[in-house]
This record gives sequence, structure tokens and C-alpha cells, in this order.
Amino acid sequence: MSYINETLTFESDKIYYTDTSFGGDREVMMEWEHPLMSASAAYVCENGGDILEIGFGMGISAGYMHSHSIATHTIIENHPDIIPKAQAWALTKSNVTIITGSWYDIKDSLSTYDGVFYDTFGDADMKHFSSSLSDLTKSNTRVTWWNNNTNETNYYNIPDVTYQSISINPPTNSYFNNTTYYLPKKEF
Amino acid sequence: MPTIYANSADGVINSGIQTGWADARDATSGTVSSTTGATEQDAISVYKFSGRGADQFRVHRSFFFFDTSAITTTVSSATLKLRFLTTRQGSASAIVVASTAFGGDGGTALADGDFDALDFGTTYTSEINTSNTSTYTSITLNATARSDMQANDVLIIALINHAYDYNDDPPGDANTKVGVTFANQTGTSTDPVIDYTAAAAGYGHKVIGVAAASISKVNTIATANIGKINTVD
Repeated sequence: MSYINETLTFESDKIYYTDTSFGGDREVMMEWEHPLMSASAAYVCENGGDILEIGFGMGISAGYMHSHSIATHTIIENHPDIIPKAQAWALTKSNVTIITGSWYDIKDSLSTYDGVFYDTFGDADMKHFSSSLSDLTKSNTRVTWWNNNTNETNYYNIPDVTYQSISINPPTNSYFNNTTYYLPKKEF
Repeated sequence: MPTIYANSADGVINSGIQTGWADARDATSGTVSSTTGATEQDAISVYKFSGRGADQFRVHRSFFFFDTSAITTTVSSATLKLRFLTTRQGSASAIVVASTAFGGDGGTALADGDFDALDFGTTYTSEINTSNTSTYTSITLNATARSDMQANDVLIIALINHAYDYNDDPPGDANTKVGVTFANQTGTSTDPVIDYTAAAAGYGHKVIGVAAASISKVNTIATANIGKINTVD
């Protein structure tokens, strides 16, 4: 079963589901990521302006983005269990647009942005992320993404990336157990 | 036709969940899933999982060994027979390659470190169609396997996925799995088994005063292929 069809469980410190064929409980996002989400939001909002966030998750990064001065905030979310939460979060924020569905399916209808944060889960279109950036960015756009690599490299082999190392102490989980997170920073 | 059943120490090892295909397929150690199961649903499996920011993979391989110590002559034919289960998913063909698991001699229990105790370059079979789940699937063992049956006291094999694991080709979005019956199954009617045909033991007497054990050939003919000399047994 693909991630999009999984029923998610929401707890105060994590979102997860159970996949018995692949390791049991699969955390989608967890509370311990606050320092990473804060730093990611700070980077993509450096220029203010229009921000694109692909993947809402627990809304941690979205909350941090709204602590910065930005013009608009476009959020794309595809999981049916998370979409209502993103919509509820956006209800009182006039500059937020929630787009539902696959980011790759609707990418041609998007604009260009001053900051882009890409953090998805179970995304079959991950392989298109790098090649899609030229359509979503303009001069000086700040881009970052969830970086699973445990050194100063990135899964997408995007070149000319600098990294901010952030010390963390995550509880054992199914997606990231290193004690240093290498936040990627790509400036166009 | 003589038969050899797999030793009940057979089992499955999986790579664990690894980020990156090579980390799973080329892992130097894994986790023994089971050595006591009568059947294993994940005997030959390759999983892909698109998780948070990276694809993750898990590879399952099955290991068996057969006591071939009684075979001292040329094996002219051999057939491995396996009973596949109805639990199947994806591109589920398989292949058998040579292995050095079980300590290389069958004397050691299957261990986590045996995950990579196989030689992709030494195949014992062609690609195996695993779709028959109602009876044994008969799989021809090639000359390399037959030679090893004669030369070694045990034949150790790894049964692995063909499309992805053997070909070292990362799977797309589809998972693949095949279940197999193991030697722990009650009785032997569905156990992994090898049927084989071997040449007669050959000439076993002195020739011109030389002991049979010291003679490998008589007039260029291997003693294993000699039943009589000048009509004398």
C-alpha cells in the first residue's frame, strides 16, 4: 500500500502509521525536529517574499515561517489525513494558500518563489525534485529540503549546496537517527 | 533416483531497512529472519519504500544446504525441487547461486554475517519461474552445481530474487516477494530436495598390482567410468 493510502495516527509528538511489511511503525514527522524546521524556515524566508512549502506534515515549519516577514505562503499537501489539518491551520491566515494533491502533478501551475522548502514523505516524484527547481525559482531564491544524508551531501545530488550542521538528539525512529543534521542551503 | 533433502538449518536473512539500494543489496551483514519456520512468506523478497527524503530498501535471501558427502562420482543430472507459496507479489522470478553460508561446510548455524556469503558470479540455475504454487517446481542444476555436488561434502545455495537482487537493479515502486517451504515443514513431501543421477562407483580393484585408490585412470579412462576391465569385475 502506498503512503497516500495509509491511515495516519496523530499524537502530540509525532505522526505515524503502521506498515507490517516494512518495519512496523513508520514515523512521518516528529516533535524533535523543531530546531531543524526553525532553521529551515529561517533560511527560505531570508528574502521574505513568496514562499513555497511542499509538505505540511505537523505544520512545524509552517509555523516558523509565519514568524518571519513574508508576503505569501503556498503550501502543497497530498495526504488526505493531513489536508484538513493544513486547511484548519490556514483558516486565520490571509496570505496562506493550501493546494491539495501531488506537487508534481500541479507544478506547471505554480509560480516562482523567493523561498522553497521541500519536505515530503513517500513521494514517488522525489526523482523530479532537482529538475523541477528551475521552474520554481528565480534569482536569489533560497531552497532547502529534508536531508537524510549524514554528511555534507544530498540525496538529489544538487550541486553548489552549502550545509549548516545542527546537533540533535532524536529518539529512535524509522527515518533519521543521526546526531547531526546537515541542513542544505541552495541559493539560485 | 537418489534424493537429498535440505538440512533443517536452512533459513532466511534480510538486509534490514537501508537507505540506498547498494546499502541493502551489498550489505555485509543482515538479520536472520528465521531458521525454524516451516514456511517463510518473505523468503525471496525485495522491498522499496519511499520514505522521508530518501528511498529505503530491504532484501531477503534464503539459504539452504544439502549433504552431498555420499556422492563421489560424476553427477550426470540434478534437479532442485522447491515448493513456492501462494503469497507472491511483484516481479518474483528467482535464481540459485553458490553460497558459503553455514560456515562453508554446513557445520555452523546460519548467521547474520552470512547475508553476503554468496557468489553472484557462480550461478547454479537459470532464472526460476516461481508462479507454480500447487506442486514442486523442478529446477535444473547446471554443470557447476553438479560438479560441486561431487567435489564437496555439502552443496550450499542461496536462493535470491532475480530481477533486482541478482541483476543489481534497484526496484521501482513495486515490492516483490516470494514465499518458500523450508525443511522444517512436517514430513518431507514439500521440503527442498535435490534429485540426482550419479555414475556408478567405478572400478575398485588393483590393476597390475596398483591399489584402486591410487588409480584415477586406466588407459585414459577415469576409474569412475570403469565397471570392468577385460570383462572382469
